[in-house]
Amino acid sequence: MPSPFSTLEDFNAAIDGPTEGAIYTFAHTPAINGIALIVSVGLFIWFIVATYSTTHELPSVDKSLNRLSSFIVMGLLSLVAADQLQNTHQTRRSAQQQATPSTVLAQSKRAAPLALLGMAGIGLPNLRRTKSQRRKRSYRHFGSPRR
Amino acid sequence: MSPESQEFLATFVSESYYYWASVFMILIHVGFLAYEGGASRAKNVLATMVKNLLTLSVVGLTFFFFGWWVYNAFPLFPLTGGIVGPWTDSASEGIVGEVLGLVQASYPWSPAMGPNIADNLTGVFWFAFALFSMTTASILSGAVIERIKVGAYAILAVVLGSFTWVVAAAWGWHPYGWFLTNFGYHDFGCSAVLHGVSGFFALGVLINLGPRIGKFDSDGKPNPIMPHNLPLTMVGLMLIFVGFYAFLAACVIFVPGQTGEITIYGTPMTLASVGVNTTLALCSGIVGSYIASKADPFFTISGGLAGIISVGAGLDLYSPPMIILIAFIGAYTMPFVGKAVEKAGIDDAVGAFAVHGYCGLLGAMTVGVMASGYPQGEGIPLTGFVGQLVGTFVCTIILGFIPGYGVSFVLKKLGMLRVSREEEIAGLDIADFGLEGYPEYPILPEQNGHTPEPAIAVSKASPQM
Repeated sequence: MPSPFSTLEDFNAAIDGPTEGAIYTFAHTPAINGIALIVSVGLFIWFIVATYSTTHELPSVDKSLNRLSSFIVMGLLSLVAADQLQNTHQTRRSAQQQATPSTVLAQSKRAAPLALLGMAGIGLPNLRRTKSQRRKRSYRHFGSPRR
Repeated sequence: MSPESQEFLATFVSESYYYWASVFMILIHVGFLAYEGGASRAKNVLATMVKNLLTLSVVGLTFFFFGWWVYNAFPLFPLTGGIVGPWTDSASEGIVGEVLGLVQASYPWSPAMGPNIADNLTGVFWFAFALFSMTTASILSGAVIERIKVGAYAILAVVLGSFTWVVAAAWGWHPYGWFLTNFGYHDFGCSAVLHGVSGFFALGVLINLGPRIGKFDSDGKPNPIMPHNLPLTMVGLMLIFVGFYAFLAACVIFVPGQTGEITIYGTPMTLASVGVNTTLALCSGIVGSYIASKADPFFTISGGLAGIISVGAGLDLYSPPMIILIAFIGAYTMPFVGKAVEKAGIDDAVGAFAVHGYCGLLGAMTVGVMASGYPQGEGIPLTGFVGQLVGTFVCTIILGFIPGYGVSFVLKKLGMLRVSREEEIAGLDIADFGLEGYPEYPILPEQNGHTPEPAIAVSKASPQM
């Protein structure tokens, strides 16, 4: 029985009884409340774990990142192309003016970080996508008719 | 201090305690106003809030006219006596005589209801009970938003708030109620007596009222109709939580001459346990519904209320770890009940049945298992499963579902239940008041449950002053 009392007299005089005033359920069998406490802690841990697994996935974020990446890559490629064109033009002019080859090398190295950023722009959205998302996406492409 | 002063001090403490608890209970209605207003679409926000406001008036007045008398007159009827009233022999003795004393103080013409220095407590108890009644009717108001006629809602609110729940309280939340004296029923926080009655009453009404236009496809598939202001809804529920602390505190009985706090059933308890257990139930309930609903904000915050209602009946008896478990189970299962109701083709706009009806039933029945064997008086059965089952069944079905279904069925047959299709599409704010809740903001009618049909031409008249 959850009740520690069998008569109203015992209940009213709980302060002088074996539970020393405690009138709650299972006050006479503390082990049950102890088990309930352990289960409660388990539920709380479940909740903490659940907060990491119940995030709402937004496919639109993924798409926007792809678009953003494409935009960055196109922009960077155009910058690199412009830089290359300028370099080529300068090289020809400096060759004509008998310039040293080391200058040309240094200028081509300057474009390397920009190219790296462009590559990262392509790769990062794919890294953020989970395996299941990648599979779902490839199935969608495979199976569904074009819209 | 003289004995007279001490006696007055005890009276004043009791009077003040219930007075301020009742004042804080008004926060429940502030919360319901915000909660339901936020849960409605922008085109219905004013109508929803005004309907909620009217609850205070229609229930407050009718509870004064006859509700308070019903509470005091019905405890013995029909098992242990008749309905006590002006027809009862004034020389009656025993239990009938004691009940008659309470009844005579509860008539609207009773001297105890007015300013009377010989009775400081009858009025303050009326105040607390009137707030309980308004709370009960407000639970219905959320479920039926956006399509019920104001008059129909007022009639249903009177039936629920000033009669059926009051009968449930007379039978199951009264020292002479036959649920207690014949079956050992225990429902400290009114899980079935208030929440069970109102949740099942709402379910009966919803069956006749039908869903909002656009809620279900032609093949019965439910469409989400989103609240127009979810943050307002969440703030509203937080206010309801605050009011519920006061509500549960007002369930504690302390009157002059007592040597300790007791429940309405005469069993010992402490106000401190209300504070601890209500807080734990709130916390555990939110966690339970967060997990079950996968972090749905609407269900998550409703989970706090679901947790409190799930433990309400035994709040005075449960140990804190038990509170956490029971509240968690109630709130965890609540979203599934809400979705099952929706799947059945019933449009419960705020999940009133799941939160109040289901959790109220669960809360009252849980006492029969997790708090069984408690004594409540000489000759009164111990708390147990059968006693809880009888009381819960009468509350939810006899006093909840059947009256809700019956009264709404009659109103439906008379064409008095639901607004016209055109009014519903135009929005009740325009149809009822000729006003918009947000006149300076554009509303997107093509979304959120709107059916692209021509709206009625309603002139935007200025409000009548």
